[in-house]
Amino acid sequence: MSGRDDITALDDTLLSAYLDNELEDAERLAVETALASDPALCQRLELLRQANELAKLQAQEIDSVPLPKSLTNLFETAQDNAGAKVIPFVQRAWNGLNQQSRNLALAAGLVLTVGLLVVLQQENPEPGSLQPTLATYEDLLDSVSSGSQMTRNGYALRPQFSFLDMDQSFCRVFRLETNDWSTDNIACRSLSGWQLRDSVEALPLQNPDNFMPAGSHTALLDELLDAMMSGSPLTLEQEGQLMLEGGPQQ
Amino acid sequence: MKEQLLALLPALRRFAYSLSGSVHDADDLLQGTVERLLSRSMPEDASLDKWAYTVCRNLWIDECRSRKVRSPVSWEPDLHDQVLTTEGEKDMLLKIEVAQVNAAMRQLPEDQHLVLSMVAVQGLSYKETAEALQIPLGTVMSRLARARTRLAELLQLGSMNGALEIQ
Repeated sequence: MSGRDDITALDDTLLSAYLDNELEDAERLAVETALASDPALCQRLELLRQANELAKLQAQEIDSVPLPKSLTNLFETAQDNAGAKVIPFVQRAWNGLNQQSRNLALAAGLVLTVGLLVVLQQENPEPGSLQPTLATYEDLLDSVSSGSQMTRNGYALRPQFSFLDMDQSFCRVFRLETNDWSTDNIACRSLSGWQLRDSVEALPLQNPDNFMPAGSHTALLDELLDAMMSGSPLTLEQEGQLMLEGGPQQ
Repeated sequence: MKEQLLALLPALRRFAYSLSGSVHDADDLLQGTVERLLSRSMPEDASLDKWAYTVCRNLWIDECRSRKVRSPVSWEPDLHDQVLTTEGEKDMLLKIEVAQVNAAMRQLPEDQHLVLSMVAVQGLSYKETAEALQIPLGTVMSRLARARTRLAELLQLGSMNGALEIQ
């Protein structure tokens, strides 16, 4: 200590609150009176102020680092739940196929028998075409096995298969559908819960204006899967084990 | 909502960085926060900024719990060799590296660290902090004071300013 052996933790609490202008008038006046006659107390107040400034400045340092692309992409692809007007779609160019994943995807039922529509950030979809938010069905991703189906609130969720991504996160490919719309989706589980990685809409051919050649849809998914999958799709046993280990998040 | 959230992103990112002390962890935390905000409904009586900070803070608390034990203090900065040079604070900082501040922040007990970030970075009042964390206002005051005192001690601010030491 430096001549301030009488300083107590209570002093620091008062000084700290004084810095934040959080004291009642009487306490504030008492602190100011003490400060006026005690240089050591003034120095102590200055130390607390400096520590606080450093904490603030430290946080600001991240401003000089650009936002990661994954975060900015999130705004382009993620579903705006509050507005519930944006359905996320990602347009991806055909870049060759990993035959294994394509076959698996096809075998799992990702081949469409109807016309497909892939729209980038379609705004104002038809009222009936809004798909449910991840939050409303993420528990099913921890409980419904691939090849099975679960119906909830008028839509069906059909897990197609599961895999581990490059970060060894548990990921699932699944279809959501009603009579009006159908989407193929990829979601992965992180520490903060399930996160939707991609969602591609597949509409029935009833609207010829929306026709897109069959194959484009699977190409889009396959390209993404090729980039994401760290190995072969999981067996049902492996998948079941990971579902058990996960459980509901938060 | 997206536009509002985009506008809020820099401040929310600072808060995430203040909590985590790592650019990588901060951006992971921010991403998780944004994903939650975009995929889940917000309480009707909540404002987006408060709700966003709440989600971010809760995710971080979950993350800390999942890690069980905080990783040992590392002196491997994300922003190598950068120094704080904000005008007016140069004398105070004496070229304290960001890495040092990060490391010192990480050494704070989690409850103190959280309160410091909420008050100093997020800008909450003591009352708001107490309500958010569901702790007494006096606890906020004492945690905050201990956090600042400990931070000054770890950074040896007292020795920079003369002979004054932190108790």
